[in-house]
Amino acid sequence: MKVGMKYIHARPIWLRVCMMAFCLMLMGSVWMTTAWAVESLESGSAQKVFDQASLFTESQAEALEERAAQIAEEEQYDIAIVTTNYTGSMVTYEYAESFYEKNGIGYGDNKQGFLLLIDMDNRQVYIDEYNAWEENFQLSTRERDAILDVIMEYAYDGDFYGVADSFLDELPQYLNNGISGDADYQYAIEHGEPGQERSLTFGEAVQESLPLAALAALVIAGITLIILVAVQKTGAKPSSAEYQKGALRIYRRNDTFINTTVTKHKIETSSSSGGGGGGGSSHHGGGHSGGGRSF
Amino acid sequence: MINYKCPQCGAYMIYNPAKKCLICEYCGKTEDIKVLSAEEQAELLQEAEASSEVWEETVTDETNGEQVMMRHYICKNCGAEIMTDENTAATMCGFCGNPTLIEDRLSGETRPTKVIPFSFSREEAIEKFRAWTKKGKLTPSVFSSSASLDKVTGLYVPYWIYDFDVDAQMQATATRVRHQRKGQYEYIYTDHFALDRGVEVGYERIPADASKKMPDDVMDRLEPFDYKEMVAFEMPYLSGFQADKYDYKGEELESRAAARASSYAETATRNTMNGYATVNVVHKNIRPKRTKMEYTMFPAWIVNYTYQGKSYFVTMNGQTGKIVGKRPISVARAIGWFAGVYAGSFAIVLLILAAMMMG
Ligand SMILES: [Zn+2]
Ligand SMILES: [Zn+2]
Repeated sequence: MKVGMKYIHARPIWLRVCMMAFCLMLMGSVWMTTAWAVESLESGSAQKVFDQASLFTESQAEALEERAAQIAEEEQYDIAIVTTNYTGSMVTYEYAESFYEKNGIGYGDNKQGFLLLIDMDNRQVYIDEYNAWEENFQLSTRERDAILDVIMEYAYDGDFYGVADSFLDELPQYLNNGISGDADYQYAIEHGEPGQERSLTFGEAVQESLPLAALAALVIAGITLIILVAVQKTGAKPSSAEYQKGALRIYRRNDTFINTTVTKHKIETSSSSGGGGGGGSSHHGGGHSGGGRSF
Repeated sequence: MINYKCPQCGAYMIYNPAKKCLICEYCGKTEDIKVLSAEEQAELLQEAEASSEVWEETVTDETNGEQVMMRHYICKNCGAEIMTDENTAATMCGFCGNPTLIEDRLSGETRPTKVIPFSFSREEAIEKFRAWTKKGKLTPSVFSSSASLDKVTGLYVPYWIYDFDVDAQMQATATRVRHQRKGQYEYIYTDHFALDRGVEVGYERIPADASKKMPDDVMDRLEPFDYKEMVAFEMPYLSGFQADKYDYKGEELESRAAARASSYAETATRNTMNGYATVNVVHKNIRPKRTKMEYTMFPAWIVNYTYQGKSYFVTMNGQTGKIVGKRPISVARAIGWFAGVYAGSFAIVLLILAAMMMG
């Protein structure tokens, strides 16, 4: 008899393609979730202004206290305005998070809230959010940047009351559902691009989804075809377990520790200090999220 | 030349996989397979030799120019000429179908020690093949009905099976990684280890097909065979089937089986180096020691068929029914499936994405 057929061991190839495609789809869906999911929060505590660095006059502090309390009550999320001259061994965001937790800040059971930290030690302004994903309010990175854009102008001029006051102006605009459209509209005028959180019509949503859907469908159809082609061939190789006689006898097993090598790298967080207006960044940890900038 | 004749009617008897005995095709009489003593075997061989009319000739194989020794017998049933090549150990008369065993290729050092008999009949083999042609989403719809069976051959394939004790020594460097954050810096600690393993592992009955004309890759894929049904060799198991004696001696194929044992042992040893982020094998010494070697015959159905003017064949494990082969692919069906899945998944993904965007 003549042997003219080729037998290809196809399983690992399509298996690998399947896994790759699954990862692609997973990545795609994670990206979509973070890009489009509407995120947010709400929160209230007794003291709102903690001016440890004495940056405000007494009347300024009272005014801020009153406004912050009013917003917290109306919007159901807590607001704290904190200033400090010394953060000890902590970097800015760590100080903000620890201050938030140690001083009982937060509204309701979830302890939702926002903390504005003016850190004179590291010369940073930092916005910390807590449990911000619990409800229908949350600052997106872009919204936080938009707020920082406004309030940092005061910081560069050394007007720290201006920083806190404008923070209280800006924050509710981005968090209150009713006027979030306005905020996005304002943002669009200032930055020349439409806000993504604006709700889309079905037609627009479909149109924006077209390229990704086309790509995903291509991947799914491709994998399906590869599997179907692989199934046309039959006869897989046997496993080694078929032939092993008894158990493995390990008569020598030495794992000897030799040494440890260390490398270090700087963590890219809000704690970076530098020239005025230098790049802000965000940090996520525990229930906290936030971002800040140096001045 | 050996034939098994019905003691009742004188017709020939063949091995029946369902009844596991010899059966007369004419009157249905069955006869158990006897285990012969050495004397009985010698007697049988002598008798067979004395009664055979046989001559040999050397011919040139037109395809590769090699000299091939052909042996001719006269069928004791119908008197026709039975031609065998130099490896044929069992065959059938081309005219009357009389099963014929070539005793000198099944005795002495060419006598297998074990055999796995066929476990299903030719009719069942054809049924299994037909079922196989109906499967596969890309199989052309006319394949099952229009693939014509040319030949279904039940062939005992010569195999050597080997036992190995493998000693594997393996040294490797390995690392574990820890992270720690201190202030603005992240410290990455890498712990380095030296690993040393000594492992003993046994493998038994690793098969290697000893037939030149059967492709090794196909035969490897016919595995596994179930060794529980392997029995001591007796010639009646071959009656009614084709059988070839080995082309390669056991020593010649030992390296192939040893390579498999070594590769299994290497993987098993490597798998004992667990719990590390990276493992880099720097030295290994795998020594397989053959402890046993046996000559056996395993059953396979070779199904030749013609589809759209071209001839193909598939190989079927004669014990388990596992098929090694490739079904044809219909381009139209492939395009149809691709387009259908594309359209369906496109619509679903689009809806999901749009819904997510609208929140
Ligand atoms: Zn009979
Ligand atoms: Zn005949």
